[in-house]
Parts: sequence; C-alpha cells; structure tokens
Amino acid sequence: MTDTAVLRTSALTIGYRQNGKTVSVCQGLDLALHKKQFVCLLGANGAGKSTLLRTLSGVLPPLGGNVYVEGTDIGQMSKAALAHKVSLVLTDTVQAGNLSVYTVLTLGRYPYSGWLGMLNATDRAIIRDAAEATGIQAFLDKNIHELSDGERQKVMIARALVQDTPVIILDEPTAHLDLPNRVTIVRLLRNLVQRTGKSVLLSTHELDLALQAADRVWLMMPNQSMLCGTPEDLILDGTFEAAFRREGFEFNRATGTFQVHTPEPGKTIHLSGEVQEVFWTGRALQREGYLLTERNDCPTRVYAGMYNGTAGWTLRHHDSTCMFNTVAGLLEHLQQKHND
Amino acid sequence: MEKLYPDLSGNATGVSSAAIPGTRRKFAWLTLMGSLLFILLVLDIALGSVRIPVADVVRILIGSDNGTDHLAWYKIIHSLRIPKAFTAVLAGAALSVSGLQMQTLFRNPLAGPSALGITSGASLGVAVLMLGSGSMASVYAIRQLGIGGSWLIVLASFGGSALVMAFVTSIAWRVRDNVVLLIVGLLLSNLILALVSIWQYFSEPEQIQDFLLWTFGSLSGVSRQQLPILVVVVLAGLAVTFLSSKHLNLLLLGEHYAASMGLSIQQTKLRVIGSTSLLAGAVTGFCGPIGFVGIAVPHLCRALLNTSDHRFLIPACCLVGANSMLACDIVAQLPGYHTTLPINAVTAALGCPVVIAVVLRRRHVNNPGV
Repeated sequence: MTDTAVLRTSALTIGYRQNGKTVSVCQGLDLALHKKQFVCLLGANGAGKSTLLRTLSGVLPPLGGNVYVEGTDIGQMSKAALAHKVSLVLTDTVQAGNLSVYTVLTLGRYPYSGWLGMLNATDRAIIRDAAEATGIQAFLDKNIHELSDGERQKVMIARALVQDTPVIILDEPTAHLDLPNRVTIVRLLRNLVQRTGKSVLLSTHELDLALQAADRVWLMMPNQSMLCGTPEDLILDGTFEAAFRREGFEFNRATGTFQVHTPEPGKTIHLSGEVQEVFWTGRALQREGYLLTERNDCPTRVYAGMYNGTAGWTLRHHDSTCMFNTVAGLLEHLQQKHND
Repeated sequence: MEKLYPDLSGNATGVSSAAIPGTRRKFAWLTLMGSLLFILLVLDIALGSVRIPVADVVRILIGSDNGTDHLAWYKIIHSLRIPKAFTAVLAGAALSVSGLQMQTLFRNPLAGPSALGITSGASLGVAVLMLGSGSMASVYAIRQLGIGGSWLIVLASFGGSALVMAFVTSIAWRVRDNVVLLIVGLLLSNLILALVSIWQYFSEPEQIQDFLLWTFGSLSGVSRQQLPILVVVVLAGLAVTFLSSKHLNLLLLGEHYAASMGLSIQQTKLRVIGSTSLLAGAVTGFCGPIGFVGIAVPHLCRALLNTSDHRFLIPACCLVGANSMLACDIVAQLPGYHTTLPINAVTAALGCPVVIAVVLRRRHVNNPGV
C-alpha cells in the first residue's frame, strides 16, 4: 500500500499520565500530513495541541493507535532514526546563552555527525544554506543570549532546517514574538514548504496568519473532536461558525475574524458608500454597539465616501444632515445624540 | 553544488564559508594554558619547605643528578614533590571536569562534584574507619602508615562513595526530573554529614583530630605506588567525559530539543554520573575532600573562553583546574616556612573571590550555559 502521507495517524488516542491516572485528550484521530503541505494546528488553550504535537514527534507515547512517519510506526523506530525524519521547534527560547549561533546550528547535525560532533563538507554546506535561508548569516558568531527573541527563534528554525528532516513540527514558535516577527516566520515557513517540498505542522493561536498561510487546518475543539480541512472550505461551509458558536463565540465569515462586540438594543444604522470606507466605518460603528442593517427605511443613515480625494462621512438622521471629516467626529456625534 | 535551501527570507547576501568562529583564538588560549601548566609544575616542584636551589632542581629533574650528590634533595623531589605535583595536576583536572558535568547536567551554576553526595559518602567511609573502629589495633595501624599513605583509608573512602553513588544512581534511573535528583543528592549529603558529626561527638579526641585532618584534604598523601592508579582512573574518567562532549553540548539546548535530536537522556545522565563518580571519587579517596575547584574553574573557563562548547571547555577545565591546583599548592606550602596550610583552606580562599568576580561580571547567572 503506497502511503503518500509523510505523517499519518491511525485511530490515535492521545493523552498523558498524571499522578498515576491516565488522562485522555483526544480519541480516534486519523490525520494525514502530506508532502509539500503546510498545516496549522489550531485550538483553544488546553485543547491538547501540545499533547498532540508531542505524540506526533515521539516525545510522548500514544495512549492508543499508531503514528506513522514515511510509512513506519514511530513506536518501532529508535530515537536516532526518528531524528532523521522529524525535527522540532518549541515555544520557549533556548537557555544556552554562551553557545554561539554557529555551534547551535552544528548541533542540528547531531543525528548525522561523527562521535565528537565532527562535520564533513556536506554538513557544513547544509549549515551555510540553512543560515542563508533564514537570513541569520549576519550573527553566526554571536552568542545566543545576545540576540533578540525573534532572531533566536529564527536560529532554532535554522537548526531544524540543518537537521534536514522531511517533517518539521513547530509548537507555537511565535508565541513570544511581535507581529512583524510572526509574519516573517510564517512567510519563511511557507516559502520553505513551497521550494523544498518539506512538510510543516505548526501550532499557533494566530488565526489570521493560519487562515492565510495554511494549506490545511486542523482545529482541535474542546469537546475532544477534531475538524480538518482547507481553511476556506471550513469557513464557507459554515463549519468554523458552527464550531465556534457552540463555544459561545461568533465567527464572522465575511471578515474572517471573531465578533468582539454585540449590538446594543435600539441602535440600528444603515451604512453605505465606498468599499474600503464602508468596511472600516462599519467596524467602528459595531464597536459603538450599532447593528448594521440593509433596510432602507432606517432613520439613521451614514454615507462613507470620498470627497475631493479625502474621506468624508455624511450622517442623516430623520431630516437633519451632518458631515464629518473623521470617523472620530462621527462617533462623537452619535454618542452625544444617543445620550440625549 | 545546488543549494539545499534556496533563499527563503528574501534578503540573501553572500556568506563566507565559516569554520567555527573564534576557533583560532580558543586554540591559542589553550596553548597558553598548557605552557602555564609546565611553568607551574616546575615551580611547584622547586618550591617547598626545604630550600633547594633551582639549578639543582632542574638537574635532578632532567636526570643528570642521580642522587649521588644530594641524596636528601633527590629523595625529597622524587618521593615527595613530584608525586605531589602530579597529584595536584590530576586532582585539579578531575575535579574541574566533574564540576563542569554536574553544572551542565543539572543546569545549575552552583553544582559541583559533591552535588551527588560523593564527598559525604567518602566522609562516611572514613568516619567508619577512624571513628567507628574503637579498636586500638586499627588506630595504631593508621597512625603508623600515616593518613594518606594508608590503603585502608583510600578503600574506606571509595567504599563510602560507592555506597552513596549506588543509591543515587538507583534514584537517577527512576526519576526523570534532574532537580529532584539534585535535591536528593544534597539532602543525602547533609544527612550523612549529620550522622558523622554525631559519631564525632562520641569519639576520642585523637580520633576526631585524625578525622579532622582528613577533612582538610591533602595532596601529599599519594605515594609513588598509589599514583599510577590515580593516573589511570582520572585519565579514564576524562576520556569518557571528553567523548561525551557532543551529548553534553546537546543537553545545553534543553532535554526536549536534545531528545528530539535522538539523544538518550537517561543514558547520558548515567554516563555523567558514572564518570563523575570515577573522577571525584578517585580524588576524594586519595586526597580527601577538596572543595571549590569543581565549582569555580568551570565558571572561570566559560568566562575566559566565552563559550559553553564542551569540546573546548573540557580541555580548558583540565588545564585551568591543574594550574589552579598547582597555584593553590604553591601557596599552601608557604615556601620557606616550615608549616603548610591545608589545601581546602587555600582553594576556598582563592576560589571564592574568583567565582564572585566572574558572577558579578555576567548578566545571566540562572543557568550554567552562560
């Protein structure tokens, strides 16, 4: 039976042992990660993402079922053999302060290097390429503790590249990073998958980045079920909405974001105008608690448009008309009126 | 050759083929330390309570004087000073390297060779011998043979260490958490020392004095017959440790990363415990408990070499440890005076300021990787 999946699970039950008791997190998982695929693992805190990743990478033994890497059951593999197939990048940055960046990269060749960590020309070439690929060649001789968090995570990703495995598993690698660094790293991983054909499994809380970058999304729900699919399919067929609504959250499929605000009673408004201005004005109005309606007979109407190259807002309430240059002005006026 | 990884980050600039940066500087530094070792070795042999002119020392060392001219000096140098100097070199190297391993394994900058209870085990064995045995015969035997020259004491020390190490190893086998292991080791040491002090409370003054003398440590107690054993055991321990450099380096990344790269954490832990037992157990058996060298020298080496790479640190610790021990011995001899200081006092007096200075200069002390 040819197995096109690089990483596959069969009726996998994951969990852990705590104080002598077995806690099962998820049962009967049949997942597949294929070659040249970028999969994002999403889920609430405590849903079991880390447990799943640890089980898939061989750190934690499965409670039931099997995990296959390139067709072989990882339970039958030695740790050394597994190290040739799966590499890890973890959340916490490394506490090996006095190691130089280059030394950390050389450690990535551990599964292949000689008894004292001797490297041959191939090893050195891979290290060089990985450093170039992640853009860290400028700090190869710096010590790890001299780098910023983002640079350090890039080093750990480069180390995983040096390990040269078909599967790379990353457990919330961008958790402590700022937005530009997060985008850079996701972009880097995406390019990696496209150009080298490796497979990446990334767990993250960044819903927006995940929906943009992932070929597939695996969503772990707190009720111990798992939803898998292409992000757009999951959104368009309502799976996402349904899944989150069960947990008490409104997922807005038009914007791809979660609804933070709920409309207040008695606040209805009709909004029309230019596409971009309507989008952002709508968000501002929703923040004020307004419900946007399509009905033309709504007494309060806002037109958001462009006048002589600058944005402008026209508010019509019954018979009175006001014009504003900024959203702030519009909102202030609406607040005052509502308080009267 | 086609690149394995094309530029993914979008900002490639050319990169030079880098050997490990700073390697040349590290090798130069190691050579310097090696040269210093020779100097201190000769100095240690040349200085002592009996004033021997340097020219004669050199003549005796290179063998042009077979003792026909100055028999007393010849005997002093060959029977006393040379064994002592070599003991200092071996003890310094052994203790420093075991301290380094302990600090890496437990990721604790204050760990030393005694962290797992070797020293207290040795104390227990020696206490059984010196304090527990009330019989006049054994006391007489010890008196006659001298503190260090007695094989009895060496064996008692080894026996005690082995007992404690066996206990600690059985715990290490079952317990995954290294912090737990460290705590068990430390508390066990305290327990044993408490037992020993109870024993001392009920002992004769002469016995207490003998035991106390043992606790001061001594490099002069190793006879020419015992030296080869010390050499073999210490070299074996150093070799095992050096061959594990790769594994120790991996441990610095943390156990999760190390395991994900195929390292067997349990095997490495047991190997570290084993080689530490060999190194520290041998030195403690032959020289008594010697402190501070094992904790201070690794920090000093890390600071001077600015690296945590064990492939450099292990040789560095050997050299700096040996040099430090020789320096302490030279000071302890109080050259020209007819008394000597106990070696433990000198290692503490020289070791503590060094550690304080090193620690104050650094910003991160929380883990030994820095």
